Amino acid sequence: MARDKEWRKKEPSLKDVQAKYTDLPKSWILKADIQRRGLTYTKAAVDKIDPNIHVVNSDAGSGFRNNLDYVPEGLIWKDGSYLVANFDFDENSARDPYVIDVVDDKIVITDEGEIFDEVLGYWEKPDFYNKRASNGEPLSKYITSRPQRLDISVNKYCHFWDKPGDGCKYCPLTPTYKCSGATEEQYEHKYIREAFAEALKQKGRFTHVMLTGGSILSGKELLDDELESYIAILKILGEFFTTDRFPSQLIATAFNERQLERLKNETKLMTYTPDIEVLNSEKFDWICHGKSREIGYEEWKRRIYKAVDVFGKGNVSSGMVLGVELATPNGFTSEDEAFNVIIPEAEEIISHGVALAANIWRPAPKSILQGQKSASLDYFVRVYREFDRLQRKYCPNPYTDDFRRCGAHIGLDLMRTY
Amino acid sequence: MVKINDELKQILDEPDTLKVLAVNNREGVPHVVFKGTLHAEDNQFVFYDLLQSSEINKNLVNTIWFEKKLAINILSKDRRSFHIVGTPVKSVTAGKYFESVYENIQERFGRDTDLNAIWYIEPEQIQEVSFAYRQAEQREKFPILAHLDQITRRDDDDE
Repeated sequence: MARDKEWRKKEPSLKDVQAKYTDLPKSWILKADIQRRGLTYTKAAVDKIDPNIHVVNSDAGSGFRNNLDYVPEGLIWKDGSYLVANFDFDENSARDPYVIDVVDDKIVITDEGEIFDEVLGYWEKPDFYNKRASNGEPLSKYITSRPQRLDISVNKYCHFWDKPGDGCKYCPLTPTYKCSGATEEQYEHKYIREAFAEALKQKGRFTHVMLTGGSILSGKELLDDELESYIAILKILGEFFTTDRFPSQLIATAFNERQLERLKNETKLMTYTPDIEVLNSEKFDWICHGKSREIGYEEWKRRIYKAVDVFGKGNVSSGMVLGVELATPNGFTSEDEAFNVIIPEAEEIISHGVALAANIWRPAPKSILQGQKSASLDYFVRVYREFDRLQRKYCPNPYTDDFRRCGAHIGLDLMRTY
Repeated sequence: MVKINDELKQILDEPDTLKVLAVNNREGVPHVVFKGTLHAEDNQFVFYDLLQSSEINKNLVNTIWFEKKLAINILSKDRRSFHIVGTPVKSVTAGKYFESVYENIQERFGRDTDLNAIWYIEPEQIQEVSFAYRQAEQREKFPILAHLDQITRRDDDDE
């Protein structure tokens, strides 16, 4: 989509939205808008990178990213939270990105030359990024990192993409994997173990381990092979800890009761996140057709609730791609209509104590929906505000998937004052 | 921004000094807590929050989000008291400096002690509020504020 040069005149500005929602932090609304519109860096901002200290896109690959430019992987906010923006933004996106610049030696966020906020700095590189596995490969190949979280991508390829039309339409992960020419869906576990052992040596750095990966549909029963992959790695990680469970999260396909019981009983996993992705049965069927066909929207929800029974209230969250329900041609045709449909649906899910980890939909390059236009800032803020009201009412654990343990889905940042 | 003078910095570093923070929560209810790690760095007050679920941490997040103010009181061993009004300007939750403080905290308080955040507070007002100091100040500025018997001539005044 070619950028509409008049886009600013056609939707509420950042300042309009900040003025409208005075009960939400201005800096948080800015963060939402950066995730929506994207960001670029001036040369001065890039010059602030110290390659010995900061982590840059080229240090470690992310499945969300083809861009391996020498730019910071993320920003640190003054309130101690992080801006997760380590994904590809469409260079020809519908709106101009924010510009990270340096003014008076401070790193600032600007738009049309106006300074909107200052950031504390760039994410720092973990010590293990400077080390190599026994096969000579960098350890960052096997485990990546956010400021306080270790990320393990267990399966690089999502088998919902095996059948044309079944892959989730917003997702760039498997298309990116295919384009890279990679063929190794999973890494040898011994190297993950080596990376994990090295990462744990850094005192005070990590508070959480997140595992995720593409769905694997095969097995005696649907998803059994996926389950086995996670159990195998979780067992390796569990050996490092003295406690019954360790701060960890699995973002995976929605397992059935038998699979959930195995996950709980055979590993030290603490929290589980089966992402529902889209809060409407009809839109889910269009956007996540493989998930809809193999499992189904209502069954996916039922499995989330069963997971609460197994892992306990407060230990289950569910991710979603907020805004994709407005994608064309089959999405909702107005933001009001979408809001009115998804909020009651959200309340049903959240009422089970399941926080919604809602990411802002960016029509990512290589995804089927690339080139589309995401919703207005007002829509994202209005929905997040309502989710927050519901989560304050129903969710007993504000830390399950919070800024420290994730940080990508900024709606849950608001739980910091619970 | 006002300056934290050397005398106050020294008082802050004395082990018997009591240091109290008062921060409102999102509903505007004040919460008061003693913070032994409060000290001065350059011209900011700094303290280490050890628990992410602490009330003070939640309230400080709310305070920095909405650019509100907080209050600090410092009481020295010799009963000198200082009232400070400030604003939280940053919270450090990760990075090499955070890790160095984390290790220091563990050395001081034990290996099972965690570190949530390093909070930095910029002072906007620092005022000595020790009783003797305030009493003298009030008498000088507002001589109308006194019970008459305190200034009534007594029989022994001329002696």
